[in-house]
Amino acid sequence: MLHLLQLEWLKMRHYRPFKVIMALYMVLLPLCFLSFKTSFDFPREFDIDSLFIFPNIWLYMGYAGNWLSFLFLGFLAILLIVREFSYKTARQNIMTGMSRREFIGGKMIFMLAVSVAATLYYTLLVLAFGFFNTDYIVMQRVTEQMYYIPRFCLMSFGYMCFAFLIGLWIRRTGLAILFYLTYTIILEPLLRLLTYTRIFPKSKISDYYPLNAIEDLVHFFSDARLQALMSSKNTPFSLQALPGWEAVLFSTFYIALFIFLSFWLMARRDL
Amino acid sequence: MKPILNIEGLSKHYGSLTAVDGLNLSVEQGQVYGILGPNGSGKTTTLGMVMDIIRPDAGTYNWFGGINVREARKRIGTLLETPNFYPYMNGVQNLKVVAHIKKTKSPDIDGLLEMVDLHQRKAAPFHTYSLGMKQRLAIAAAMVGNPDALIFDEPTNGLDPEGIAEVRDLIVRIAEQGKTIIMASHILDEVEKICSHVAIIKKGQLLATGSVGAIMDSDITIEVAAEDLEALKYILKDDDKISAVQSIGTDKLSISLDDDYGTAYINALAFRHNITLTHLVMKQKKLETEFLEITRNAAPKQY
Repeated sequence: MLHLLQLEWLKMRHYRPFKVIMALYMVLLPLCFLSFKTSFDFPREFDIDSLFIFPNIWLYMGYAGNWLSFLFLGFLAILLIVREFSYKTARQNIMTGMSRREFIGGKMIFMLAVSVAATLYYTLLVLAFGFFNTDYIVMQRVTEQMYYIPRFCLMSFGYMCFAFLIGLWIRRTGLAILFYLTYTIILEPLLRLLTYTRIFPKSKISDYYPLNAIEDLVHFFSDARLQALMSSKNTPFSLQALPGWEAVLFSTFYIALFIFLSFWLMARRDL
Repeated sequence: MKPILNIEGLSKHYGSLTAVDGLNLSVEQGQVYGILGPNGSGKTTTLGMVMDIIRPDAGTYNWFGGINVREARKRIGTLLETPNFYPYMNGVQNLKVVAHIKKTKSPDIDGLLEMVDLHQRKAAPFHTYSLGMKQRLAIAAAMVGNPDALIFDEPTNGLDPEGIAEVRDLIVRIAEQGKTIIMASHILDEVEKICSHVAIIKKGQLLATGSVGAIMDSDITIEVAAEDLEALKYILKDDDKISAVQSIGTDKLSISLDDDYGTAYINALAFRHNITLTHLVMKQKKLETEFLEITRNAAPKQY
């Protein structure tokens, strides 16, 4: 496993888009988080300052990271696989002596490593901002919502696995990114709406779609106080986030499915 | 002789097109084995299948007498179709990737770059290399980890004459180290100059196989002339040892003859019919004539 991770590192360390993406991620995560202060359309009764202190900061920093992981880590995952086909290095790696399984396995391990690195950075930022902003530090308040740490990691890895599968399937950077965005932002919400209104009316099934499950791992809809304010408004369509354990369960299932499909697709394809 | 590669009944279809059709081949240690065929005859597809990047529809192959194929690939250096490297990385970094995959401990990367004359450009990114340099880097990459066998697919494709000469020279030098080389090419001259053995394929089928010498010698061409050319032509055509008679201009004939017979046979034949030959020359048959002839008639030949 270490051997495969080292190989990916040899390939990536000189790759400028990789450095740019990681740098942007690091710069934008605190900036996105801070932008909640000004630009977010929260209900008027909602106390915005409470987002920046423990324990809520775990959720809201995580939600800023949700967008960034979706965009930047997703694109990184697409580049990670598509360029191996456009350079024809995937076939060269196999001919040089890798098995197809090792090839995909190495990518998965690398994506996991990137997710873990992003999660560590997220944790550090939360601690730094949290201790700086919170006036009364009570240890129990600091640790109360630490379950967002593994959920952040699962979310980042989930986006990457999905994007990776699309890249492996489509093999064109532009098209893959387009499909990744279209599916997540337009297609899946449409499917969910259709499910909610026509197929299984008013049921929760519409919330179990893959990208929704992954998104709900760290989503500000999970905030019960916010939820109480929002539900008083009459919303046509479920705006609730899945309960934590359901989000974890379904995300894990979908990630396993994406990984399985990636191995399967690679195994049966000519290169 | 130890077997290096054995192919039995290998086939690949793309829709209705049959790229490789029940191909049998065997390559032994130390051979420089040319796979000769026109463009689109299935050479690259065949090599792609034995390197596990294209899935065969039927047939089997084994390397080194049947060891695990992934381990086998680590003992083979491959240049298939194009040099494939990470364009943003330099020569050294790219070779390090290859060495890492092959699990080569302390690879002699500088030595290899020296061998292919890329030492001065080793720190420049791959995308700045000329085609000839890219091709030479691919040969260096194939040599990482001191492999037992090498696959070169159209190694001189697209190169200028100087580049072609350099790459051919490099391959001959590698062959002199005793490595088994499998080289696909559509250029006869190349196979004739570099290879010890050759398989000629067309439309995915094996047409002929054997040593380059045997294929070159097997059929001989003799040029003859006589006062009465028509009479000579008549008796030559009538003889069952002679497979073909063609006119060269107005005053000579070219005849193809089984290689058990030679000029003496022709001379005696003419003499028996009271014809005096004014010209009798044996022409060594070039692989080129042979190649064109073989690829025209589809019946397989064994030399």
